[in-house]
Amino acid sequence: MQALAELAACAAQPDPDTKCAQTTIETFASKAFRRAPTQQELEELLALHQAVLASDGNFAQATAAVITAILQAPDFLYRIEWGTDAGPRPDVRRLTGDEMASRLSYLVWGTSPDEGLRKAAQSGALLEPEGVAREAARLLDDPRSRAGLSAFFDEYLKLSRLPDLQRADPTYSSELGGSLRQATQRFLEVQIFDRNASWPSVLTADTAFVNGRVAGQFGVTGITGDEWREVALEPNQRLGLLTQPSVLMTSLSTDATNPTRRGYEILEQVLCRHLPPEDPELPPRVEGPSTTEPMTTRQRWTLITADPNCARCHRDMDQLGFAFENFDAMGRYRTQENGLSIDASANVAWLGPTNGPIELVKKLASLPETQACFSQHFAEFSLGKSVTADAAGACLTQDLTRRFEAAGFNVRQLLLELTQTDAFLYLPKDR
Amino acid sequence: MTSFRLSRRAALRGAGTIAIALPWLEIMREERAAHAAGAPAKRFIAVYTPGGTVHAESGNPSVAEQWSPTGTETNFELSPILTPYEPVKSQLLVLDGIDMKSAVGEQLQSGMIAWLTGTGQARSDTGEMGYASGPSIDQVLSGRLTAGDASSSLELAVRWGTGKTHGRVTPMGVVSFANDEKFTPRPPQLDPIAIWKTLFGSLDPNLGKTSNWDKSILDYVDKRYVGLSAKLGTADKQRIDQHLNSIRELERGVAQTVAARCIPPTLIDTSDYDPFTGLKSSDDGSVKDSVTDAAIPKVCKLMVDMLVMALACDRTSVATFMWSDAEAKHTYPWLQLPETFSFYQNGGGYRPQECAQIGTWYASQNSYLLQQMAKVDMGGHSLLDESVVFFGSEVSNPATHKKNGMPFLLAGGGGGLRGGRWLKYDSVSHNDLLAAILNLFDYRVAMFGDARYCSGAALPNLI
Repeated sequence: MQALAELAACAAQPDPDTKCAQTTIETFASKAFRRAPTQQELEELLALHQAVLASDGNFAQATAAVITAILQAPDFLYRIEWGTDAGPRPDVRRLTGDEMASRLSYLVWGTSPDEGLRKAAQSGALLEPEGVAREAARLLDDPRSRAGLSAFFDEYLKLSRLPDLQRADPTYSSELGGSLRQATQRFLEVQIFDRNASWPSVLTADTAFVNGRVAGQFGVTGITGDEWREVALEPNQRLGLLTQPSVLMTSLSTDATNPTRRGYEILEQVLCRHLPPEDPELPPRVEGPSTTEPMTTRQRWTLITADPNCARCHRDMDQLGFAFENFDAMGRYRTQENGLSIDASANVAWLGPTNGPIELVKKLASLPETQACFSQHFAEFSLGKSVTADAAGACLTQDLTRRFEAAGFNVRQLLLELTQTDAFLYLPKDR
Repeated sequence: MTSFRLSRRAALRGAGTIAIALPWLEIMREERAAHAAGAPAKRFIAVYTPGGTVHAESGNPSVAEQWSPTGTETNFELSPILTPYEPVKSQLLVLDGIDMKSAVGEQLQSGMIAWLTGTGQARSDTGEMGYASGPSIDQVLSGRLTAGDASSSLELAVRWGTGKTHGRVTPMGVVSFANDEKFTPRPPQLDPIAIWKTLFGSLDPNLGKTSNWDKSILDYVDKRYVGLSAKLGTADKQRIDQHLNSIRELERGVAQTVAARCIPPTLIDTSDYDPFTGLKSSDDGSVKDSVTDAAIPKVCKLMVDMLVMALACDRTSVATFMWSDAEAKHTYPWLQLPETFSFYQNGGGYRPQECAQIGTWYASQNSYLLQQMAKVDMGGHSLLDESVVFFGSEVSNPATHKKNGMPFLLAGGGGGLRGGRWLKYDSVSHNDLLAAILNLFDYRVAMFGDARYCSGAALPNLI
């Protein structure tokens, strides 16, 4: 009854009539569909309501059936964008106000539009780029935007995997994995929202957030309890996002490090440099060296991939991965492996020589392609489609990267800039 | 577990129109997708028959084999005792050569305790014989199949509590043990009228109505998807049509809803049957209640009908069912057997012919259960198809109480169980069988019960 009354006051009165059913249905459908339901939709839903009443149901049961139906309908489960003619732009179509309200709200908050957005949609403000920017800024200032961006980083950095990693290491547990994910999300939130950080400075921040559960993983001592605290990183050991234990762990599927996999993640996720397709002539599996001598991972890798056929692809990947060999599969800092000293130097032709993870991180953070790559990943996530497949996508990346640069690579600003691109504002013309 | 996750990148794109899937509902995520390939069994019923069976005995040529089939794995003749299973043979697995090695303790009680727990009999602090040292598989499954509500499992018995403990607490003939710290015994319900009231007296009166409503809801949703699909580009259309197909599957299911298959059995007159007469029995079987005993067949039928409908009406998904207890100190007047089963087992000297006669009658009751389950349409498949039924006893030989070559049968098609076969094993421990049964429910274990009696691998070849 309480719930019914919240939908429509009339529904809580004795013997609600058909008019009341209409009001109840309209209220709920417009929330669920994120737009005003059409006359025909209302009629169909009312017919369902009446069918339940006719087969011995009461008002509450009929309303429950309508709600069930609405929650199964494609209009609720999918974001459907039909668009309208764009007026001054004959080459594209514009999104309707309601469609734009949904785009904005899922982009920034990861959930359905609030009352303010619905009003902006009805006022026609969302049909113009300026109105979109204004609403985007309002949403971004709301605390809910933090959850929206953390969903992006969960996927971009594969942080959701952390509680389910395969590790025999007794210090690993789902709980630890979850805490490490939190540590990174906390770090990103403070950097991006409280300090208004740029992407290069996220990559080179010299602090981290730890609590008693994860401090050991970061090599920090003297921290206990569940409370998160900002700590300075050991300057010779860690620097920025890419040296967070979480990020160092997610690419590995066992207790051993795998420079190839770590390097591959840097190429794909940080630089958007894609490897050539696999050579079908190559054997699917290569045997490791048969020696009982203690070796480092790097030494074993070097022996396996010395073959020129392997080296063609492996060289860059493995070199980038070697730079992170100072971190074991749990993301802990180390200088020795199997009693041997670790060599974390790397030499990638297009990057120049580096010595250790910190030098590499600094170099990566300064590259223009690192910023372009970040804006590309963000656009793909936000628009829900690949932006490398066609010319329009290439245009978007260029446009967005230019705007990102003009904004000093500010991460929050990237989100606002995205809402001003053609890809966000319009739909393609051809249907 | 695969790392399947529908993300917002799993986008739908068509020419000109873009539909992006919202974050999906929890139930559409990992678990379901990962297990879509094989359907785990949904219901488990364990049926207990007292007194083992009649096997041939080396050194006693006068006793012929009455239980083991003859022939090959898939082409075999049922033995005299198993003949009543002929109508359901294609869904029956005869398991030969399984020993109940974990049945350590009092000769009969230990068999009842170990049957579903795979553990020996525990001794209580007072020095009296205790109960199980682990939970029984029905209770382990009940926790899983009914989302943690173990109280919804059903324990039923006919003519139970007939000797020694007379159904009172301290080791009594119980086969179900709770999945709690003490493995608390779960004695069966005995009174058919009370059972009927519990199971069917409070059925939701909306049952019939709601299925009509479900149909109206699905009609509406179906129409929405059809309408949308017609307006979409190729890629979007494919995705939406997939969704539409799953809705159509639901619609087919609704045609066979609980309402359609849930028909509570008619409550017959059982005033001549005293469900608690076992409490008045004597240790030597000298107290007889021939009126109650004469009513056993009709009560048996009612109990089976109630059990099948309890499953069909979704009142439970896990049950144990007992035809008497290990003492079996009651008579069988409808078989013209005036003495108790206990008398024919060993009290009056081993009488294999009478024992086989009783065993065959129990088989006919079990077969009736399976046939009734096969008749319930769950929407394209029968209740039996989605279930696993496990038949067993506390001993294999009624006279010696030996526990090797147990008369175990499995029936049903749940979890991919492949019936119509006679499987011969070489003295394997029945703990491996219990693990294999759990695996049919997608409860992946290699061992169950007392690890000393586990080989480390579940019994092979059931599916």
